[in-house]
Amino acid sequence: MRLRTPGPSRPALRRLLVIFVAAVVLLAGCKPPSEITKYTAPHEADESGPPPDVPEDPVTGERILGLIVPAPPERGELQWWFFKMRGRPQAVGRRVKPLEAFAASLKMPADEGMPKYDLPSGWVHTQASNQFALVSIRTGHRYTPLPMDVSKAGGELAANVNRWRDQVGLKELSADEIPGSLREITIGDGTKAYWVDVSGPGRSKPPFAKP
Amino acid sequence: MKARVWFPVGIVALAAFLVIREAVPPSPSKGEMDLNAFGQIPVQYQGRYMPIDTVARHHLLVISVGKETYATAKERDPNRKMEPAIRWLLEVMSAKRAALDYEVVRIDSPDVRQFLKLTNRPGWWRYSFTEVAEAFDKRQDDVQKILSKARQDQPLTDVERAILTTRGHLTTILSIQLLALPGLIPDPDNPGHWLSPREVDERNQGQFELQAAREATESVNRRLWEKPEEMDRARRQMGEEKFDAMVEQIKKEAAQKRLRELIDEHRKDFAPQSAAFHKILDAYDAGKAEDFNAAVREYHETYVGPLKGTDAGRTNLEYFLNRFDPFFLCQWMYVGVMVLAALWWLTGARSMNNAATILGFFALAVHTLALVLRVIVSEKPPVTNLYSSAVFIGWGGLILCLALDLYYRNGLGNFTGGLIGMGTMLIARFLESNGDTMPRVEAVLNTNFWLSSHVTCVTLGYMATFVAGQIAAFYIIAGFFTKTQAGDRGRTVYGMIYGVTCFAALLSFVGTVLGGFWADDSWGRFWGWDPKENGAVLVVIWNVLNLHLRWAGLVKARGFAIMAVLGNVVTAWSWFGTNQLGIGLHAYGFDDKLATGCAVYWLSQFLIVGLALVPLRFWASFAPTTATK
Amino acid sequence: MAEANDNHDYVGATPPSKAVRTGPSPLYRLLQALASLRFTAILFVLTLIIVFFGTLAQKRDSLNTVLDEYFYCWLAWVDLNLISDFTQVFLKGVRLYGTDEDPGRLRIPFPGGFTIGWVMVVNLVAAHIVRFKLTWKRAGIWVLHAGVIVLLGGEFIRANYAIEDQMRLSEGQSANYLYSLDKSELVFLRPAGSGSDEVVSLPGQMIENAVGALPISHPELPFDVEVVQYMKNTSDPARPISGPVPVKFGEKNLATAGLGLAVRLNAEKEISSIKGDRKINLPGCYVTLREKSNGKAIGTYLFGTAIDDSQPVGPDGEWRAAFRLKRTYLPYSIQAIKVERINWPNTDKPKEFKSTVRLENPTTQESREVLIEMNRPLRYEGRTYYQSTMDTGGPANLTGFQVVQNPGSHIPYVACTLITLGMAFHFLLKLIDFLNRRARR
Repeated sequence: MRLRTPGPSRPALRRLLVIFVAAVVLLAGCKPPSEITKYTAPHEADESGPPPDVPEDPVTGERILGLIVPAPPERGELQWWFFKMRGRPQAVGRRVKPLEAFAASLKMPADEGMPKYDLPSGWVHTQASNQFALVSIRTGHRYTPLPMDVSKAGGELAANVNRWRDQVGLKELSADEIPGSLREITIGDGTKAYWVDVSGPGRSKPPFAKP
Repeated sequence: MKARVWFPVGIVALAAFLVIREAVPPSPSKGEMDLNAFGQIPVQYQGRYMPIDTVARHHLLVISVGKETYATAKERDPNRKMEPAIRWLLEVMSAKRAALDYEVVRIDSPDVRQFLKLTNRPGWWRYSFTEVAEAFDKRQDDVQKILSKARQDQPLTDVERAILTTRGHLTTILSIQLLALPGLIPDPDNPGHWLSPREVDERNQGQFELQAAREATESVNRRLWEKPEEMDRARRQMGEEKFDAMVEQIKKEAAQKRLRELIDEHRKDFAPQSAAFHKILDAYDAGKAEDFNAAVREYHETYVGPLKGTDAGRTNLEYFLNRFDPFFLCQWMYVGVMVLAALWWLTGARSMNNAATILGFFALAVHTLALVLRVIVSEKPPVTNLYSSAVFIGWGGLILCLALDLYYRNGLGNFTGGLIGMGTMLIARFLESNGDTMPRVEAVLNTNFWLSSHVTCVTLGYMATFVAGQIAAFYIIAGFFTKTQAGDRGRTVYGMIYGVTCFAALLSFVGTVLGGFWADDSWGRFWGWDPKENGAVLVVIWNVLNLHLRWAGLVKARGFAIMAVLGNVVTAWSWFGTNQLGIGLHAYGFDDKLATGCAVYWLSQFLIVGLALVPLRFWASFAPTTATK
Repeated sequence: MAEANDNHDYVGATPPSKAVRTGPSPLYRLLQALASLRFTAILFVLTLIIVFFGTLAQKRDSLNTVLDEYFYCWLAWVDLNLISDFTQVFLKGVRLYGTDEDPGRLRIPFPGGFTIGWVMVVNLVAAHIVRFKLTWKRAGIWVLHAGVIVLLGGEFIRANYAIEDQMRLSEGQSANYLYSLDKSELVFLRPAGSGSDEVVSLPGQMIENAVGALPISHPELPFDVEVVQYMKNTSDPARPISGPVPVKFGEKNLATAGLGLAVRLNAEKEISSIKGDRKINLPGCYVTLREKSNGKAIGTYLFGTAIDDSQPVGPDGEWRAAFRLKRTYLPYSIQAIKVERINWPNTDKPKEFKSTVRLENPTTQESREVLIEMNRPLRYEGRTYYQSTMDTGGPANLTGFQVVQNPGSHIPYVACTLITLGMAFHFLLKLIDFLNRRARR
């Protein structure tokens, strides 16, 4: 069959086609542009914690800050509650004031059970950071947590303190010298406890050492 | 005159006789174990209720790769018989020694055979559990290396995967022997969940553990103290520690043995159904047919009868399907249809084509019955996985081809129908060894409406494209090698291809679009550019392209036929090829053999196209004859 | 030989017989060329090629990448070496070039999906102007082709305007915003009283474009933002959990304030293949904030979607800033009440994914429970919530919804109905024609 007669008999349709093609070309470039917007949104609490600790020079060594609180003896052996933080000197130094507030609120349990305390602002409970801790408390920003491990163990005071001294690279003290190196404080329920703050050149922790 | 009537009727009568013979179960003669009754016991496996016969067939199919029977003796043994899978299951379940010596584990890969240092058994390639287990023991270290690789999600080589697959078969056989599968006994605490006999034992053994330990210790001590001098000598020889350790070990083993005994004794109290099942197995082990039949009857009356009317009460239908194996019968009937149609072309006897048509309809009836039964048993629309798609394409193709032949009466419809029927039945048989042919469907597919509309429609679209392609292939081959496609006959065939292609374009388009609607309903995207979706749209476009080429006058009969044959290639890509890529939502069904099968099929179609490209003057049907020019 | 077609009154490529006056206008000649059936056939073949290669490309690249490179673009770059991937699967590992780990690419320019689609539309419209008479016999074809144009148009609209977001909730949790998987934003927040914040959002695309350029300045922004470094992805897909790494003392660090002093994000390769892991790109950036009045630098901060928290920025502590996946806040909230995955008994295969949620809309005073499950989404206020993911393996059940806003979502339904009706009608006419002719013989 033949094609329909061409020419000016279909001007309207031709114009339509031109418009159509033009529209396509325009539409093609059309994409919602990205722009800066402002709106109101519900407030979300920030749970990240205090400002992060900046990295410190390794030559400044390590510092352990903590509390050793006596607990009732078990089976004839002395028992202690340990609250221990370990990290670089300045970072740990920032925890001194909060730890004082923590100690002031600390109350030992009457029997089996965990001690009671008020957490300073920014400190949150986390899962135990190692196999010996009963619970850990994050004392810093989520990315620089510097956890405080809470644990309970036995042994002589000197042995435990010397273990900590060894971990920061300090030499051991004899059993007589130990009480002198510690500070006695009173915690929330009146119990006398020891405040430990030792700094040393540092030593890397072997994998299965006790805290 | 007479032959035209009697011959077709005779053929169909023969077929009907063979079919009915398969359908009716032989009643077991006295003194024989009624395996049929045992096979119908319902169990729960892989999420659905099925007769235990299906479990047996399924496992043997997977382990033995393609065989639902097993050999009772080695190759050259004169007493060798092939027995059905259900008997194998009984043998293994009743913990017969000989059961593990049947050669059922098929190892096709020469690398795996080499790894296990097994002798070659060409053509048979099957080994017994004992042989393979011993071979694995000798390669423990290497196997452990592969296992840890797999556990760490590292990619495995083909050989490593094949080794793990074979090892998996051994584990399965062991599980069957330990009665750890399938689920047999409804869990009182968890309705709809059935426990295996072993699970039931494990749940209840706590109450006997103390007693078993105590009694075992007493008996071991008694035995030891019977001969105190020997005990002393042994103690001095081995040393205190070793001696004590040995005594501990003996006590432990004795306790376990005593525990099993106690469980066996008391099972009828804490798990009567399991005890009833054990009774069946014990009777089988002892070889006592009467006891076996009685135990099976009792089991049916007490535990199976009450299930009538529930989900688990339909297993006898599936059992019938298993035994009847309609698709195997159909396969041979389709071959018969092809042969009869071809005979008509060769001999010119019209009765041959009539016979082909009537046989075709009979086969279609059996095929339809099988599909309907499958729908009833699985409670799902006819196409839910690759296997069911193959079976459905065969059904649809047959209907279309029989209709074509009724209209055109040139035998081509019958021949093509028989060919497609036979082909799809073969594909289905191959796919059977991949697992349950009526599996439960994933959550995303679990919608009957879309499964019945989209999947069936797109499958029919594939089917129609295949029919067009097959007729086109016939046109090319017959046109090249014979004079039959000259003149009107060739034009008629061209018309057939054209008509079926129009039908295929419509069906495949609607099917693809329904898939888009389903996707939009399920995850908000009408078109996701998924490989399978893309494959379907390729089929649609190919059909439409072919039609446009004809309408543009750019192709005539030969060109159209070439395009239709290439349509086979595109459809095979969409049906099987896209699954092999392993990506997207349709990433199931990867199989090395399927990939190679695709490649071989494509090559065959390209060869036909190559043939078609030879200039027409060399074609037997279109060669210029001196008279015409 | 088979006869020429005699039941059509048009033939595509045959030049017009000399009896017909050829149109004087070159536009009409162009129209004829555009309308040619040969051209249609070529377009179909181009479609087949781009769809086939776009399928193979998904083996290695993510769907989004393939959409950008093959289908939703005007110029596509087709990688011919994908044939090697094809032969590797089907011809037992044989490759034409490269290895499985390092396949290599051979890209050629090719018309993209948009181009082919629109040229097809032009071809179709031109064909109807030039060739098709509006008669009953052709009615099927008119309807069918109209449907095709609508379908292509609808897909074009969807490609450009549809928005897909996510909402992820753990059982019991409630949310009133959606987040995007591929768009990010730098936000500045400050309290605005009564439990809300004022939020200023800077699209991540603008930040990416502004690397090394002049600082971005805008009346709504509290500071001028100068982009020092932009990283398209900071998460290593090989590591199960990725996040910022601590900064070592003395290490060169772009940051001079905020979190960036303590932690660092590394630029990683873009995640471009979906190997069933649903990992997404997590971009990050180092940005210098400057005072608006005098351009003085306040500090260089590290931001990234891998960092969960906002940081205080600026001297007063008034503002906080964060870089996060782009959020869209909703006037209503959705709370996940119960999240269930039901497996087929005794298997790991999922049978159903069900989430019972509570929809609370203070503006319309609505508060009701809705069930969202696989294949049964929730349609609410222009958005559709589809059950997309569920994780019942961890401590809390997590449910994920795909939230789609598609202005053109009805178009495919209309288009496909038109096409089906048109096709069915046309083929029916042909069938009747054919049967009549056979009967006459």
